[in-house]
Amino acid sequence: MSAVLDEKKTEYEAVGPAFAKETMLKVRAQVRAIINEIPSFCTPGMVEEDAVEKAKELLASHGMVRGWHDVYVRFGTNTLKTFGEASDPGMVLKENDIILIDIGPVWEEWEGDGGDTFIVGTAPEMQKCADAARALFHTVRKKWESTGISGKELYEFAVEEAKSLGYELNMDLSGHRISDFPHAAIYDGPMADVDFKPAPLLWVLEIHIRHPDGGFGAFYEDMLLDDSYFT
Amino acid sequence: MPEILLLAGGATVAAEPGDSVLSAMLRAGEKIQTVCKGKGICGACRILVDDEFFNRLNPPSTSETRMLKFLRSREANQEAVNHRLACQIILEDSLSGLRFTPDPVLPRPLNKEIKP
Repeated sequence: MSAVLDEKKTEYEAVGPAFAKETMLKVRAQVRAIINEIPSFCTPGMVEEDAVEKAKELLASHGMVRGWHDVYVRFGTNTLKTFGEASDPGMVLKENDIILIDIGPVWEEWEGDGGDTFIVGTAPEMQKCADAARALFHTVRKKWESTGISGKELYEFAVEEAKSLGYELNMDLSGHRISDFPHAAIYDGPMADVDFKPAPLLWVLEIHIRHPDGGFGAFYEDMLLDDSYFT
Repeated sequence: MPEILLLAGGATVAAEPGDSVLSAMLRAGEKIQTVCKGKGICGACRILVDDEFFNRLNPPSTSETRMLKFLRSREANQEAVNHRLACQIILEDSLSGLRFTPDPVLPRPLNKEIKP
C-alpha cells in the first residue's frame, strides 16, 4: 500500500477515546436482538408510524434512546426508499407483506448499527428478496475476508453479484464507519469510496436491493467481521 | 416572505416560516452540531431557550421529551431547564426574536462542515 493510502487508512480508521472492542461487540449483539424482536409487534393492519414508535420505545427500554441515525421500520413499497428518505405516510402492513428494519442506536458512548428484512404471511417473492439480501451480505463479506480488495472494489463486486441474482443494488447505502459516538467526527463517507481494505470491527456492510418489478426491496446490514462472528 | 430573526448566542440569523431552528442555523453557517441531520434522534442540536420564548413554543413530542430527559440524566446538574432540540422547533412569525444558546452534548466535536 502506498504511503498516501496508508495515511488515509490511518485517518479514516481512527477511533475515539471511548472505543473498546468488547463493548462494540456487546452493542452489536444487543442491536441484533432488538432487530429480531421488532417484527413480533408488527401485525397486519398496523400503520408504519406506530411500528417506528414502538421500536423507539423498545430501544429506549434497552438504554438506547439516542441514535446516530433515525429508526426505520418500513412496510410494503416503503422498503424501496433509500436511507434518510421519508416513508410515504400511513403505510399499513398487509397480511402478506415485507418489513425492512434499519436502526443505528447509541448505547452509552458506543454506536450500534444493523438491519434485516422480515416477511409476514406468505409472500414467496418477498421472501426470496429478503433471503437474497442476507446471502449477498455474506457473499460480499466473505469476499472481503478472503481477499485484500478495497471498499470501492467490494461494492463493485456487490453490484455485479446483485445483478446476477436479478436485483438492483442501492448504492446510497454502501457501508460506513462505526465507532464510539460519533463516528462522524472521524469519517462519515461511504465505505464504497475507500481505496483500501476496510479493517474488521470498524465498518458496517450494507446491502439494500430492489426487486426489478419495483414493488419492494430488502436490506441486510451488520458489522464487517470474519466468519467466526456469524455462527 | 417575512423573515424571522433568531438570536443565537451572539449571532442574528434570518429564517423563514417553516424552517426548523437547526436548518436556519446550518443555512446561515452558524455553529450548531447535528449527527442525524435533523431527525431528532441524536440529541446533538440541543439548545437552551430564553425564558421569554420557552413557553411559547409548541410542546415537545414524546420522542423529544424522552431525548431531553435522557440527555439531562447523564449530566451532573439534573435540574429542569429550558432545553429543546433545534431540529424540532418549526418556526412561525410569532417566534421572531427567538433567543437561545446552543448547548452541545457530543463527547467530541465534528470537525467538518455539516450541510443543511
